This record gives sequence, C-alpha cells and structure tokens, in this order.
Amino acid sequence: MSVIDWIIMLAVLLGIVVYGIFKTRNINNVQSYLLGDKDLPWWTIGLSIMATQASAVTFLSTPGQAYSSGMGFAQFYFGMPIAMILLCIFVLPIYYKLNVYTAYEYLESRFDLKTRTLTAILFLVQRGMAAGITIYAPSIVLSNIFGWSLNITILLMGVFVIIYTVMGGTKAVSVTQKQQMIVILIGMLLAAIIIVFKMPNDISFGDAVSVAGKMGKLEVVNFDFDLSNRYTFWTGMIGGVFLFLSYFGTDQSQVQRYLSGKSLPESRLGLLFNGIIKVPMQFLVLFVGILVFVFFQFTNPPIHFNTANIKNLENSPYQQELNRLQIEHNMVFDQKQIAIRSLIAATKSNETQSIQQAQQAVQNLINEDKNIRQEVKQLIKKQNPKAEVNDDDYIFITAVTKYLPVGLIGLLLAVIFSAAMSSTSSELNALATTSIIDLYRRSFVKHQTDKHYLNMSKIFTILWGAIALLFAATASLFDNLIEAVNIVGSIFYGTILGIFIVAFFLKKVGGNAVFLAALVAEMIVITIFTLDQYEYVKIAYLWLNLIGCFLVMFFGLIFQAGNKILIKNITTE
Amino acid sequence: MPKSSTSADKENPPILKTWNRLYWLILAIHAVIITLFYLFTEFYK
Repeated sequence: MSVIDWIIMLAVLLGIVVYGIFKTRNINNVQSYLLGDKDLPWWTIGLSIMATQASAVTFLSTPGQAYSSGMGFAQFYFGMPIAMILLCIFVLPIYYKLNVYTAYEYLESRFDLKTRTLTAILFLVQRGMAAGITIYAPSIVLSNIFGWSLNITILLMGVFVIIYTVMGGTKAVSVTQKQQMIVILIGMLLAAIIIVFKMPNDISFGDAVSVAGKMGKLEVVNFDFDLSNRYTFWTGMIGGVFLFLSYFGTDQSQVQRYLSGKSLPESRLGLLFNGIIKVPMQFLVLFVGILVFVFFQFTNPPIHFNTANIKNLENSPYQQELNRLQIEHNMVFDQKQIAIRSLIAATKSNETQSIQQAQQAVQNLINEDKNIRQEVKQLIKKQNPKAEVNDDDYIFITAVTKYLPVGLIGLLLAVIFSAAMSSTSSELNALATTSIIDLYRRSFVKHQTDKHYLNMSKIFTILWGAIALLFAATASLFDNLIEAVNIVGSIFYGTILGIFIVAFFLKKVGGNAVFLAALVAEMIVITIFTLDQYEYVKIAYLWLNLIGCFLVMFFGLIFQAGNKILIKNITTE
Repeated sequence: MPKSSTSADKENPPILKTWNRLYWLILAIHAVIITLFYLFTEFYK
C-alpha cells in the first residue's frame, strides 16, 4: 500500500476519532454518558442505527455475495420498513414513557427484577462474544490480503474505538457514526464509478449491466414460495420482520441509539429513515459487487481471491498442479472475452436464437472456470485441511487493492475500518450500559454518587473492550468460530425475543410465569441443540430462534393459567 | 393502524400532520421500491 493511501486512511480515521472526542469533551454525568444528553436529531439517529448494523463484514462480504450469487440478498431487508413502523407504534412510546436507559429496565416495570436480570445477562453473553467477532472477521481478511500481522490489525481496529467510546460514551458513538456513514457511502459510490470507468473502451455501462443480467446476476425479486430458498420475497417480508423486530426492539446496541434522540418524534423519524434508506443502500452495495463481477469478465481475475492461500500452495508440493490450473484458467478467460462480446452483439441485434446461443456459450465457460476454481480449493484443502477456502469475502477487497487508483484504496480501507469501528463502538457502549444499569447499579452498588457511576461506566467500557480484543486475538485458535458465535446467539436470542413479545402483547402473563417459561424454554432449546449435536434430531440452528421465542410464549400462557387456577383453589378453600 | 395513546405521541411529524399518514407513506415508498426492483429483474432477465 502506498504512502498516500496510508495518509488518507489514517487521516480519515484519526479525524473521526478527534471529532468524536472534541464533540463530547463536556460530558460529566452518567445520563449524558449513557444517553448522550438526549439531544440527537433524527438524521443522526438514523445514520447511527444504520452504522451500528453495517459492520465491516457487510462491506467485505456483500459485494462478494453479489459476485457469486447475484442480487437476491437485497430481499433479506424487505421486512425492515414494516418492522420499523411496528416499533414506532408499539415499542418506542413505552420506552419513552418509562424514560429507560436500557430495554431490559422495561422488563422490571412490566414483570420483576429477576426477569430483567436474566434477560440482561443473556444479552451480555451473546453480544460480548459478537463484539470480538466484529473486530476479528475484517482483521483476518485485511491481514491475509496485506500480509499485516493479525494481532496488530486487531489492535489498530480496537484501540481507536475503545479510546473514543470510553471518553465520550453514547454521544461519541452517535456523532462519529454519522461521519463514518458519510465516509462509507462516499467510498462505495466512488468505487462504483471508478470500476465503471475501468471497463474496456468498447464496453458501455449498459453493455456491462446487460451481461450481468444475461448471467442471471440481476434477479433482485423472487416471488417463488420455496422454503429451501434462503432469499425470496416471502422470507424477507415474513422472516425479516421478526428478525428486525427482535434486533431493533430488544438488542441494547440498537435500542441505545434511538433512546438518545431529542424526543419521541425524532427517534421515530430516525427509525423510519433507516427503514426506507436501508433497502436502496443494500441494493447499491450489492450492485458494486455486480460491477466487480462484470469488471472481472474483462480483466483476468485471480484464480483464488485469498492470496495467503495461494502463497501457501506456491510453496508446497502442489505448485505444479496449481500452475496447470492457472494455465487452464487463463485459456478459459481468453475464450470468454470473445464469447461475451458475441453475447453483447447478439443482444444488440435482438435475435432471440443468437442471444440464447451466445448466452449458453458464456455460461459454459463460466461453469468451466468455476470447476477450475473448485479444483484449486481442493488443492488448498489437501495442503492444509484447516484452511478456509471460501474466498467470497476477498473478492471486493482484491478489486479495490489491485485495480483502484492510489488514494481511493486508502479511502476504501477507511470505509472498512469505519464500518468495524461504528459497530464495535455501539456494542461496547451497550455492553457497558447494560452492565452498569441492569446489574451493577440495580443489584450490587445501589446508592453511590453520579461521579462514581460515571467512572464505573468508563471502566466497564474498557473492560468490555479488553474482552472483545482478547476474544478477537484468540479467535483463530478455534475452528469455525463465527459459526460458533452465531449458534450461541441462536440459543439465547429466541428466549430474549419471547420475553419481550410476552411483555408487549400478552398482558395477562405475569413475572413468575414468564421467568419460569424463559428458564424452561432455554433448557428445551439447549436440549434440542445437544440432541442435534449427537445427531438424534436434525435441526438447523437458525430455527432455535423461533423455537425459543414460541416456547416462552406458550409456557408463559400455560404457567399463568396454572397460577390462576392454583390461586382460585386456595381462595375457595 | 392503531391509534397512539401517550401524550408524547400527540407531537405531530414534520410532514403529513399525523403519524399514521407518514407510516402509510413509508409503506407506499417501500412498495414502489419493490416494484422498481421487480421491473429491473424482469428487464434484465
């Protein structure tokens, strides 16, 4: 990476950090620290919500996903505006009326202390692990691409964010996220424009998009009701609504963003802004991936995008096989150049038969190349059985670092670091807030000065930052850690959502019933998960979310009814 | 859409005067976006 890129990247990142610290230099009480003086306008809230959700992996993985599987992933977000409206109607007014710091505080006023504490602990376990992964996942990609030390990359990602989150609390998180989101959007737009200009002279933008369409990459909406298909209109509109209701309504890292709004209307507008902007934004990020796909139809792409894997192969006994595959890959690329130009000519002539023939020829060559890439992956596995061969996350960063001009590389790296920092800062801030409000101040040290709680909030932020860094630094020691974290999340998330749904919609269910229901549901979920591990049952872990949620509701109603009958019998006697 | 009840709810949105109208506008924009995506899909199929 050139000196100019380093300067641009560090200037952007340091600029945002200094801005965050400067804007929050007067924070001197615990309410300002945890709720940011409640003075944020709707656009800051909206951008902050978007920045919290979009981590660095979003900008590394999403274009790669479009490159490999097309634009169908956009449908995943179709339920978002509906979920935002439901939150505005049912959830926000309650949080505002009770003037809470955390979502879990509400559970005490609705149920009791033990339900609040249980839910807060479930959140801390799940989000604490996720914070480590938010730092680790982009660090491993960047360190593989640039040959940087993994631990130094993790430190670089983590230390900046810990400094400004500790110093400025919630307000620092929100004001920096606004800048980070602006950098992210400008960076992605510039990347899209430059990639279009990098196409060959005889290929127009329309030709490029048309090629992607003919290759089946531009199917954004799919109305087929197919339960095995992960991304359709129906999974987005039905599954997505539930997922986003739970994430935005019960996860403190998001709840804290809109609770720091100037007023209820400002918070509502922030959520609605996020709901309506998110889908087109995701479309843009995916479209950048499509442009990278078309670009690599005219520029020979690497045979495998993770350069660290290729370097290991080159220094192994499999080098000759790799060379053979590289020659085949180059030959297929040359043939594809001719076939794609024939396809463009056929499309312009509008003759159905010649379009179909040309389309088939290109598709055959793409399949041939896919097989060659698959062989490379098998070689990598042979050389190192533990190697990660999925290289989708490396596609976009390879296009950026190898083909974009000096200066823009630094800006796009700042985009990736900004995205990682914006998500991590929200997570650390939420973890510290929940630790101090729902556990420390509520159950352990009840009557101390405001200064004491302010200092403890800062100490908890440092502590959670250190745990996240430690977790990120040791993550490579575990196999398939990201999946492990998702599994742990699925084990707890359904129960948390179930408790909140009972709280909001099943008004007759009381504290004892929901607490008992949550414990029973959690035990059943863990039992199902264990049975799955020993292959007595076969159930994908994502279903645990739904099972946990419904079990809490079901047992909550049963226990409440049982409780009523018991009380009635005692009264009659 | 259900009627809002808290006093804070009575603060109107900056446009369209009521929150319910704004929610319907968001849903309408979302429907237009999905329709455009559908037309985009069909055009390049």
